[in-house]
Amino acid sequence: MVFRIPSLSAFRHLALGLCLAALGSAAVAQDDVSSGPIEGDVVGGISNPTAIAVPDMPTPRSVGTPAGNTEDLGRQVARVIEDDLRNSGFFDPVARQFLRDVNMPQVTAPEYPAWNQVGAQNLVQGYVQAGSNGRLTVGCYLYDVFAQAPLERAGYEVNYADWRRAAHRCADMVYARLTGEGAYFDSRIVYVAESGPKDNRVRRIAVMDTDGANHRFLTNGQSIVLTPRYAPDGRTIVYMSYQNDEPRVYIYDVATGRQRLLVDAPYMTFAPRYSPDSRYVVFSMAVNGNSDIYRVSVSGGRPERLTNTPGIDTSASYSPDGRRIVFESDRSGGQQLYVMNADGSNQRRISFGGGRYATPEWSPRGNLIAFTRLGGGFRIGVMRPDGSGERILTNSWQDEGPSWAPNGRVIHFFRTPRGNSLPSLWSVDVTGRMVRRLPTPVGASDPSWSPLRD
Amino acid sequence: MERAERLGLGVAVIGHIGLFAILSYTLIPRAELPRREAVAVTLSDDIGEFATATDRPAPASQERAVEDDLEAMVPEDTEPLPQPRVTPTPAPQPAAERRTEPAPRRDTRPERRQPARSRSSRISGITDGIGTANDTGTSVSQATVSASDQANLISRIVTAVRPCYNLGSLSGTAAEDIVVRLRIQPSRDGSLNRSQVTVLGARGVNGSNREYQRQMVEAAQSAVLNPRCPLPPLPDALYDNGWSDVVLNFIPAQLT
Repeated sequence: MVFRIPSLSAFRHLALGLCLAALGSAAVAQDDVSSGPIEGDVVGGISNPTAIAVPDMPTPRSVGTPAGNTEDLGRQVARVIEDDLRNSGFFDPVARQFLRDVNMPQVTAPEYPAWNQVGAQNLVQGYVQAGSNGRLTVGCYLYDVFAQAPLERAGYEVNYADWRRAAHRCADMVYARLTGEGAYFDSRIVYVAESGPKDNRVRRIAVMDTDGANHRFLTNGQSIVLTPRYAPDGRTIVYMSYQNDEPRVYIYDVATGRQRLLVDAPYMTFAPRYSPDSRYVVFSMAVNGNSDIYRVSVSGGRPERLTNTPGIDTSASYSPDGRRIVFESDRSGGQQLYVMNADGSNQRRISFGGGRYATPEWSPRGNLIAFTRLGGGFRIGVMRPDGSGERILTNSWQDEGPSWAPNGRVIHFFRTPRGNSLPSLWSVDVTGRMVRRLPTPVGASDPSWSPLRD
Repeated sequence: MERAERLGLGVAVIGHIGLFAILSYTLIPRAELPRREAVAVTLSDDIGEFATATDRPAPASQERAVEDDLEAMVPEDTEPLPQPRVTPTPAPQPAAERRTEPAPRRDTRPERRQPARSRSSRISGITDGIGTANDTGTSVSQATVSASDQANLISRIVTAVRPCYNLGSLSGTAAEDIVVRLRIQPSRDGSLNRSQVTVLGARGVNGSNREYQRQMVEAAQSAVLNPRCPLPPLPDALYDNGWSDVVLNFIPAQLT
């Protein structure tokens, strides 16, 4: 029995006719009726900094304080807020010549049309007031100019000397509300300050606010220091020093200025980092030419060995839940990244791209690991804890030593130019779009971000 | 003609008749549900005018507040925003009073305005005599807006709004998976304030981008409220049944 094609051809013609009929009827239906809202898609958009106005903050009464007159402080607080927001890369403050004077009643009742005219999408207003208790109060109000609505408000009472902190916290409130990210301006950075020629360089531990203010040297430069790391509680800093020509890990107490040896052992100890609860320090110790990762209580005692393989295991960094550790190891030939449980079990490699990987640091959000990728230069990159989704964020001659901001959105690192120039601190947004140099009085390397301050 | 061919042809004829019946049924007039699919956008400078009157009621005015929509959209498990540890010490009135409670809005929400009778001077004369409204805002005689008119209206509105759809810090993040659906109900003079913007919802929200939902909604709202991106002049005749009630889906997938 043979099936013949012509019948199918007949179907085709019928189908074509039906389709035409259907299209015709649909067209008739569309042209005839309109009911309910019309609808469309706005596909794609732009990515520009948000225009924001930060006028000088008025004071209800001009009062002299140890930090200056409250009228001057109102101006300076506004400048710090403006700089913080600008330096984040996400905001474009309205030029000061277009800003209006704000009086006290207007702080809570902004003149929206006027701010609309200068092109501000958001408005930060506030006031500065000296209290009878010898402290300064900064009120901070955030508005949506287009919607003509208040968005958020907060108040901060600080010692006069800490007026910059009040400004940073106001900027943090604005940043967090408008971006959906966590705050980070009211935090500090510890780093290695470098000065002098390359063959006789002085290295000192220094701390500063995230905007470079309140800079202070913690060590005198008589010994080389490396890899300072803030404790998650912000009270101590752990670092490695060549004091007495013996490279060892020390802990520095921020409040007292005292330092102490962490592990009393006749071996080189290096690359320390705190556990998230600030109770332990993981570090590397070189014993008989083999470097492994150890864990020890911050109060000292006998270290617990976590890795046990030939080669160099170093740069350990805890996950924010404290259950895992990422580290670098050359056990497979070149430096690669590995993840293990906090007790040293289940060690597995996560980096498989070309080149080598070093100095990993786990994001405070837990979702990413930042690292230095070596090969054709040094670059800063991020990947997920399982090794997927690798992205390179910077592209310069020598970028290394990433350190996460408390909000897990921004990464600090240090960049060394070709030749004998001093290194400098930089920051990059996790999207790789915002790269900015941080101001430091001298050369700078090995940054580590403090937690957000209380 | 062989038996198989006859059989096939018979089946085809029966099928044809059946489909014709189904299509005829679809042409029977009945109440239309509001459109939910996006209208294909065609750029055009010409917008037609139809004088076919209908008795379809005008879009109902809504008193919904954008702020309420935002509140409703914030998931319960969202972490609270940073709160001050210290309440500001009282400042001179009225600031001091307002710090004890959520700051009152200076601009109490205006009642939704009735569509203005006057038309934009830019299009005056084009649509005289169409879309006369009674005191309740319900049209007694309104023009039907064709699909091509709708497409043209949407095209012009989207073209105007899109340059102000600014994701800023949200670009390059998981927030880009969130699509926000806004309803705008402009006044007849083309003006639009926040009481005329309603958040219908957001899709694509998941565990990795939930913290950005609020900001994504506000980015869409800012796009339609930004004075730098006003609605273009639109025909008054196509206001009722047309651009008086518009739903926009903000899809951030293709950043430029």
